[in-house]
Order: sequence, then structure tokens, then C-alpha cells
Amino acid sequence: MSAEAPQLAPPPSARRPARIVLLGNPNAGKTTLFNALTGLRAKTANFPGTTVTHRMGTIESGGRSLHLVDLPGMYSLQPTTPEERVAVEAFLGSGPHGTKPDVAILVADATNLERNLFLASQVLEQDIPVLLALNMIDVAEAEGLHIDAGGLARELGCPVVPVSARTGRGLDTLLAALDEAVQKSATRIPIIQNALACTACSSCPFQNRYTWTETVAARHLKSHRAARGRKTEAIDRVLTHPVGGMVAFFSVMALMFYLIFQLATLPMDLIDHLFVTIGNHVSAWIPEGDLQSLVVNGIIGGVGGILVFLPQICILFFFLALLEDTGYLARAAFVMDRLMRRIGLPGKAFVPLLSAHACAIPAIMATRVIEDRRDRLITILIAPLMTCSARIPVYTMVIALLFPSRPGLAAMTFLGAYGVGIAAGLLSAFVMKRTILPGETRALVLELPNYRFPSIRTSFLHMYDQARMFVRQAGTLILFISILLWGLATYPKSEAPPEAEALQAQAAAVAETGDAERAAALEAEATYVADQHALAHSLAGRIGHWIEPVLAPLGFNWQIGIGIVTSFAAREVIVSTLAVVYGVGSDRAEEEPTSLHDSLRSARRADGSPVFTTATGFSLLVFYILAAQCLPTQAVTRKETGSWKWAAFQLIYMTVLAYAASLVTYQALRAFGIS
Amino acid sequence: MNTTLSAPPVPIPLDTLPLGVCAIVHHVDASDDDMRRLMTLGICAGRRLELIQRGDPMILRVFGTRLGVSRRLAARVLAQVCDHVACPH
Repeated sequence: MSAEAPQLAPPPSARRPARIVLLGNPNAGKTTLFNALTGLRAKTANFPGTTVTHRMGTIESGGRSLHLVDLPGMYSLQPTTPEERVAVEAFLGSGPHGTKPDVAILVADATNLERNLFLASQVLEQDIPVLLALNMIDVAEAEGLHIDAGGLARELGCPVVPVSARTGRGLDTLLAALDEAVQKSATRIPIIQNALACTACSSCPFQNRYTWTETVAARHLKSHRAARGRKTEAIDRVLTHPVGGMVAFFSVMALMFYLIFQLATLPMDLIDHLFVTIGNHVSAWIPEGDLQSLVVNGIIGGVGGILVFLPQICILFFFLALLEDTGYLARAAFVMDRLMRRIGLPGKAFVPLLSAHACAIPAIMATRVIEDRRDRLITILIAPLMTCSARIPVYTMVIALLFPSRPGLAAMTFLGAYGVGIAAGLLSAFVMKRTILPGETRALVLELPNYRFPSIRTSFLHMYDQARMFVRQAGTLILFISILLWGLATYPKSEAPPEAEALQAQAAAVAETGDAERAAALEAEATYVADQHALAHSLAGRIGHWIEPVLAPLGFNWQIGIGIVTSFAAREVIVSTLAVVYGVGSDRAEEEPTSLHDSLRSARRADGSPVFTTATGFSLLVFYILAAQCLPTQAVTRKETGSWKWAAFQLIYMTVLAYAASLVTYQALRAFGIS
Repeated sequence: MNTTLSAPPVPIPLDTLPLGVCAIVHHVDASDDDMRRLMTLGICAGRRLELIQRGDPMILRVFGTRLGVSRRLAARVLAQVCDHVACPH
């Protein structure tokens, strides 16, 4: 910067964007208002040093940049959850990241003025200019509530603007009031009634506040006892009923999973196809060799392998955001609380655990709603035991081997596999609650907000944010791991075996006779044999050999060992690895799975006995239900728990559990003569 | 408040309240953490509430909203059934 710069530049107060925070109770429609104000320009970021996220966006108004931050919801300035603590710190400017905001927009639910004014009583005491936005004013009016905004403004000593974030009503007025507040921000300090001055004279420091809140609300609210919340009450008679609520809950969840698996099929196929196409194009550009193999198999294949789950994750997030916005998620936690408490977890843990059946990563991210740290940790630790989408190809393969011509038994086994995962998870939670993370489960205290029509836009933006986070967290790591595993499976290189060369020569001979089709088949066969040989002699193949003694008691040979090694980061990889190991070729296995199944079924050990006996099949199935084979999950666990310790613990306990359970399965089946 | 009340009713735990009757919280005997959570949501001495659905968890109406509260915690909150004339509910 030049020496003259300070004189030329306008005073910093005018140039610097004004910092505006939006705060308010959960369910006050803060995020909808934020989105209405900022549009699509907003970004999601973490509060420094935390996993708590907030949305922020900059808008131009009144000739000045306004930097808006949407804080997590809070009921009071005395936080009870980590999210609330961060939100309170960001508002007060007391945290490690903190300057006070220039203006705070307090978003209050107009249909529930009393409760929302409680937070106002605390917020207005701070040395920060406040603007009260009475959100959902249209709903309040429809319910026959009339709020005297002018009177309320005089009493609170701050501007009060009725708005409807949904319809856009009042947003202009709000922005104008905001501009004015920003201009005057240096001089104006809100005044609060001295009725609140004495907070220590009663056993409950909140008592005076509540009395004040009630009085103020009563003074400015007409037709106080209208038909308010009647609809909610009627709906809740069903949805929170001990039996009806449970039926409704499982129906909603069944619908969600139906949608996840149904709607995601097409985009998943498209993504899969896209990555294959990219791989083919890249193969054409890069000459055959290590670089091509690295880019196509290591990078494109690895990243595609995880992005293929993105559609399911998006649908999951969208559906959950929609349910949250309607107010139903609170009911889900309510009805599941009693059931979940038996194993030592709160009702709020249920939805994350259910989400884990699509993918553990969003599930772990969704545990943030759980207030108690221990409850949350346990939920994070057991979430990966639930059967996620990535296990489905493995289950499909193993079950096809076990029951090739008995669809009924196959379906039962599939269901049983889900059951084993759930049971193992709940049992682990039960044990952890009594050993490493003891303590009473946090008792439920939960607001059941009024039902309302969800905002598609808000849900969509939420989904977008979460999906971005998933790609960032899982994607970067999987890229690194894919390259590493590619290296393990590629190096050291070995000469093509004589069989492959013989096949190659045969192919050339056939080609001369003009039978191109047969020549191509022989050519492919040669490639499969060469790939099989290369993998068996690579580092991954050697590791497979080394760990064979450890795996033998589970009924696994070194070929399966290679599968376990290469699928260490992403479990579904075992299918394509086994295809290569058994000389089928992963492309052929994908096109016609039976070719893989046939070749696995006919595989023989050195002594001539079949590799895939019933005992080995069940043992492998149990192993893949329980093993932690998904490193991105550990990365997210580390991020959410703040320490590698828990991520390592998760990896170790799941691996030990998988090993022990497979051992018992294999040995027990053999002891009973099933093999 | 109403001064014509005879003897104030004995405080009883929330989970034993009759349905749909207005009650005033007498005192809360829970851990600091739970107490703070209850207080933030409006369950603290002197506040009016109403039991609207029994069970575990139960539903209370407090301060204009519906709260789900587990029975274990509700049993630690004592409330007095309040006089109908004095209560605006």
C-alpha cells in the first residue's frame, strides 16, 4: 500500500461492510428470512475452530454492503447446547472470533409472541442495536392474532417490522429499517424496562423476565386466545400417540427410504455412466501405461465410486430438511424417545441412525442435534454399523453365492443382514453406555413447534449445503486413498504370465481367420489373466498372502484377503477386486454378475475344496456387515468429535467386532457340519 | 393474584397433574443442566403450565408452546393446581 492510501480511502466505518446477525428461537423462520434476504448468494461456513456451521451472505442496501450471518437457533442467551453456545458467542462478540455485530435482527415467530419475546428481553439488554422482525405475520393474522407493532416498538425501544419471509411481505420495510439502524448504529443503544433490572431477587433468575414477557405480549397482542395451535393439537393427537405415532413414524421413514432408493437409481446410473465415459475419453488421450491407469482407475474410478452415492445423500438431506421444516422431526424424536432410552440413547439419535442406512457420513453430520456429548459420541460411533448403500453390492454378491436358486432364503438373509447391523449397533451403544461413556441419557425436553407448510426453497438450499460438505469431506480424502490403493494394487509390476501370452497369440491367430468376435473374446481373456496375475503379485496381493494366516480362521483365503485390503477405504470395491482376482475382469462382472458368481462358485483351494462354502459365505457376510471398511467415515468422525482418538476407536472396535463375529460364525457353522 | 384463595394446594409432581388443568410451578429439583434446559423453555418457579397429553414423554403447554418432557424429568418438577378464577388459562 502506498503512503497516500490512508488519506484517500474513505473512513473505515463507511467502507467496511456492516455486520448483521440474524438470531432467534429455533423454528422462528430465521433461515427462511435469511434466504429471502440474501437469495442464492449465501455461503455456508464453519465458525472458526468448531463444526458448527452458519450461512452468511453479503447484500447491497442503502449504498452499503451488509454482511449477514444466520446464527443457529437459541432460546436464551444461556446456552444449553454447543451450537447455542457458539451462536451466543457470535452474537455477543465474546468468542474467539469476535467482534460485536453492528446490528442484530431478532427474528420472532409472530404466532408465538410470548416465547419469542423472552429472548428479546435478553437480547435488548446488550449493547447492540436490535431490529425485531415479526416473522410469519401472515400466519398469525390468519389465526386471528393482531399484534400492535407500533406499541411493541415503543415499549421495547427498538424498531419492530412485521414480515413474512415466505411471501416476501414486509421485506422492503425491514431492509429500510436495517439501513437506518446501520447508519445510526454508533449512537443508538436500546433501552429496556427497568422491570428487568432486578434479576437476583427471586429463586429463579428467569422469573421476572417471564413475567415481563407475558405482560408485554399481553399488552400488544389482541385476540390472545384464538384458535391458535388447534390444528397442531389435532394432528399431534395422532402423530404423538403411543401407537399411532409409531405407525406414522415408521410409515414416514419407509416412504423416505423408498424415495431414496427409487428416485436415486436413475441419477446414480447417470453418474456411474458419466465417470465411465470420462474414463474412456481419458484413456483415449493418455497413452497406455501407468499414468493412464492412475488417472482412470485410481482417480476417476475412486472419485466416481463415492460420488455415485451423492443422489441418495441429496434425497436424504432434502427429505429430512422438509420434515424438519414442517415440525415433524421434533415429533419423531418425541415418539422414539422412550424406545431409544432403553438402550441409553435419546430419541433424537434415531433419525441419524436411520439416515446411516443410506450413508454413515450424513448420519454422523446429523448427530449435531443431540445435546449431550456422550449421547452424541455413542451415536457417531455406532452409526457406521447400520447397513449403508455401499454394503448392498457386497451383500448381493455374497447372498447370490449362498442361495443362487432360492430367492426366498436370499431375501430373508438380506433382511437378516440389516437386522444384524442394527442389533450390533444397539448392543454396542448399550455396552459403551455402561463402560467407556457412562452417564444417564439426557432427559427429553423438546419444543413441539406448530406444524406448518415446509419451504421447498429452504429445504433445497439446506440439501445443497450438506451435499457440498459431503463432497468436500469425503471427496478429498477418497481421492488420496484411491491413489494409495491404486498404488498398492499396481506395484510392483510383474511380467505377464505365459498363459496370457498364449491367449494373446491365439487371439492373433484367430483374428487372421477373420473371426473378429472370437478374437476379441480371447483378447479380453488374455487381459483378465494378465490383470489377475498382476494383482496377485502386487503389494496388495502380497498383503493378502501375509494376512492369510490371520484370516484363515474366518474361512478366508488370500484372494479374499486382497479383497479386504483393497476395500479398506470403500467396501463395495471388494466386488470388483474379486472379479479381477478370479480372472473375470471387473467390466465383465458388472455387465453380467452371474459370470462372477459362477467363477467364484467354482473357485477351488489348493487342496481342491471349494473356496466359497456356506460357512465362508456367511462369515464374509458378517464381516462386511460389521467391519469399518470406509475411511471417509473415520475422517468425518474425527471432524465431528474433534479428535483422532474417537475415529481410531471406531475403526478398531468395529474391526475387532467384525473379526470376532466372523470367527464365531465360521467356526460354529463348521462345528455344526455346515460347510 | 387471587387473595381469596383458602389454603394453597399441595405441590404435586407434574406427571401426576390432572389433564387440561392449569398449574403453577412451585419448584424444580433437577440437575443444573436439566434445570437450565427446563428454565430456558419456560418451566421454572412461578410459571403456569398445563398437562395436555399423558405418557412418557408427556406433552405440556408452557408459555404458548407445546413441550415434550420425559416423565423422569417431569417427576422432578412440583406444581400447584391453580385456582380457576385467578388463572387466565
